[in-house]
Amino acid sequence: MFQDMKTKPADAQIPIIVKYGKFPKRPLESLLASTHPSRTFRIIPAAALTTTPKVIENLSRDPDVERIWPDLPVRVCLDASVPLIGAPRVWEAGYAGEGVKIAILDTGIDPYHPDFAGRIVATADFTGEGLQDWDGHGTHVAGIAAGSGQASKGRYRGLSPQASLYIAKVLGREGAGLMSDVMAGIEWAVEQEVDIINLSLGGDPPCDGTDALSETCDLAVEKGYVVCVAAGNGGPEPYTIGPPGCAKQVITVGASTDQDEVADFSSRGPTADGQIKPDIVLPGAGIISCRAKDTYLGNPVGENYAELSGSSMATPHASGIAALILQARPELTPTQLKALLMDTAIDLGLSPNDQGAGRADAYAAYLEELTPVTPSPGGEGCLLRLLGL
Amino acid sequence: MGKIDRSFKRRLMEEPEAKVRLIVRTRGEPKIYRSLLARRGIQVKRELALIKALAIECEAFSALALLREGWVVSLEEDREVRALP
Repeated sequence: MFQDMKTKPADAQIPIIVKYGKFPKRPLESLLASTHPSRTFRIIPAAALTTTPKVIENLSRDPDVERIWPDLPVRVCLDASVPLIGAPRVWEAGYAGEGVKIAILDTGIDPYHPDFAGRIVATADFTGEGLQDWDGHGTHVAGIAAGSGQASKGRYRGLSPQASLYIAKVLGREGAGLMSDVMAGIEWAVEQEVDIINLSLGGDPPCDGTDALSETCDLAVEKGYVVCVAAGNGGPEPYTIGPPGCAKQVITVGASTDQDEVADFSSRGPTADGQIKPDIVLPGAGIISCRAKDTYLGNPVGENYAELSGSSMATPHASGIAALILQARPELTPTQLKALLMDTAIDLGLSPNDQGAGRADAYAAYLEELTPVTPSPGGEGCLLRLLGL
Repeated sequence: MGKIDRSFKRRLMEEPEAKVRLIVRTRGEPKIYRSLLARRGIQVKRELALIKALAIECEAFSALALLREGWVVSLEEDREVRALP
């Protein structure tokens, strides 16, 4: 660290964590008052502050200071985002998605990735390329929803590590496809009688929910399938949600950060017909999940994992939570499940067209007493609940 | 939306020879229109039973002609969708 500092200008502001050998007699706030610590810690005798190289050098000469670390930015790995949204507490209660069927409609999958061993039940290819994921996106998405974490000794475990996977390849090796390919994939998922359909994909805005793909999604919801859709990456401007994120009855998912802020890139509502969207946000920045063999999408993290950001990554967090909740409460309809996730989301204090109802939380949703929800056919029931009407 | 979005119709009229991919929503079961479309040289790519539609590929002028058919509920572009990483 100190080698690096020699190259920094004298007035550079460097974030650090200072640790003392033991708790000093004077409170850390007072001891470090001149350096304006942003945070002091109670478990270890340490403080976080941002200061100049000169002050850091002086601190390093203080015999009471045991160690100084750079205060590095933290990435939201699955090992961070999954606990952040309370999933391990639902696992502890005995629910890890067993018996729940999740369809991932995406760029295919690496079927030999250890994290999916024995859990890919059915596959279909609508691209003519074959099932193999040559892009890497679909494998990453599937890992977030339902990876077992086997290749990382459990570190990068997905939300519902015991759920069954149904894989439809609807996007080609460039990560693109046609709306009709996705619609065919949805029909296949409905034929397979899955419980949840994950769509980490979208087209260009504007959209008002009347396009063929959005209406197909809404019909699937009406038939009893939970459909989770990415809001898009066109933020932070409003009116940036494209199809099928503008479908009225799906769960439209925006991306949040590890600081529980809405990611800048996450698309914002309203939709072209004035609906409030997204419905919820979930972690989607710097997510480490499964990497398909011989792919280089995002930042590779070893042979079996990669780091990616996007509302594509937030969406399978929602599908994974949905699988946990459906295992615990299989009687829930898709509309009730959506209302449950929205009602128990943590309000981030932002506009509903930025955050929806807030950042969803698996454990809060699991604990919530089920209250009857009687939505109107257009799904306005959820909207009225969101508005508190 | 009527049978077709106005700006999309304009695009079809501006380039009548262009190949286009469309989703045609049909009155009744879509499969009964497959042979009719084939006779006109329109390629049916997919049958989409859930919303009663066909995904087709044809020249723009053929698409415009479909607008006069009573069994055609609506025509829209079969737009590209992408992964969102």
